[in-house]
Amino acid sequence: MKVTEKLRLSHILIGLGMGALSGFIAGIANIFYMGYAAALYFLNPSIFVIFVVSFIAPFVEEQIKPLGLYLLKEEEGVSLSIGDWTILGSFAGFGFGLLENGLYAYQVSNYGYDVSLALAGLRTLVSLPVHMIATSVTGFGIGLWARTGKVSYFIRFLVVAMLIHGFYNFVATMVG
Amino acid sequence: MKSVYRDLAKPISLLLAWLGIGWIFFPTIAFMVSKAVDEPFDMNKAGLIAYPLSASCFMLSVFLIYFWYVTLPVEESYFEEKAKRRMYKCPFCGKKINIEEVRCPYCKMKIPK
Repeated sequence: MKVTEKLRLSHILIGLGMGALSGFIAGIANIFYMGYAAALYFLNPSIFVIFVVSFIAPFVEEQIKPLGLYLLKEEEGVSLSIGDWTILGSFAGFGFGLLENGLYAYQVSNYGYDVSLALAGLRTLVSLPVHMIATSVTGFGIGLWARTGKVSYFIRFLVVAMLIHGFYNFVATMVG
Repeated sequence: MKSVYRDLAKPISLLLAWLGIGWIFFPTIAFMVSKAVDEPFDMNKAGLIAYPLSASCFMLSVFLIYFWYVTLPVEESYFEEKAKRRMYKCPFCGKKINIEEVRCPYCKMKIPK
């Protein structure tokens, strides 16, 4: 597919909004997949946590995050350059990360708003760029898929995004 | 040198720099949050992991910016060539054939459009 369009604000808003919406979908999907690892919980709860955050969460979230990009590519037939798809991916990750930050900050709001703000700030500094990097990589894969018609590019870069996300989650769990 | 990864290098390098800054502040802010919610937190261990990660992020960021600077964007023909080399299964014999084939080179059957 040839590049016939330029990145528009509407594309960015779709990527961002669908990225945020995917946060809710990923939350439900994570719970569904967690059932498969339930046996690990009875074996060792720590290993269960590491398995869930390092394998299940990246596997589920990285597939769902570029929801807006799938929509734009498959339904709208948007023909953007690979660089534009990458930027759209980063916006999808930004939307997802923002929603996740909000949810985590809300969870600790009973300890005070300063704690919520500190947690949101911490996640904005560390988790948000990781989500954006991972989804940019997926976006790049979607771009290559759109330009060459080979879905294998998308799958390869999706796996790379999952590995980046999984590595970050593993490190974050190890740190505390 | 031309590279298709050039488009990926620039945004990732900027995000890695952001992440690098984040890892510097991680032990301090995480300690504050953990203290407020009465969770144990080892600041020394966090520092041992966070600071080398921060340095790695900055180094990778600089490398990617350099990569972006020294490479050139690929031409349109690159993608056209890639698209031409797409393979799919012949509906008659199941062997992988090029998308542009009119007749299967293996079973010689005419491929329906």
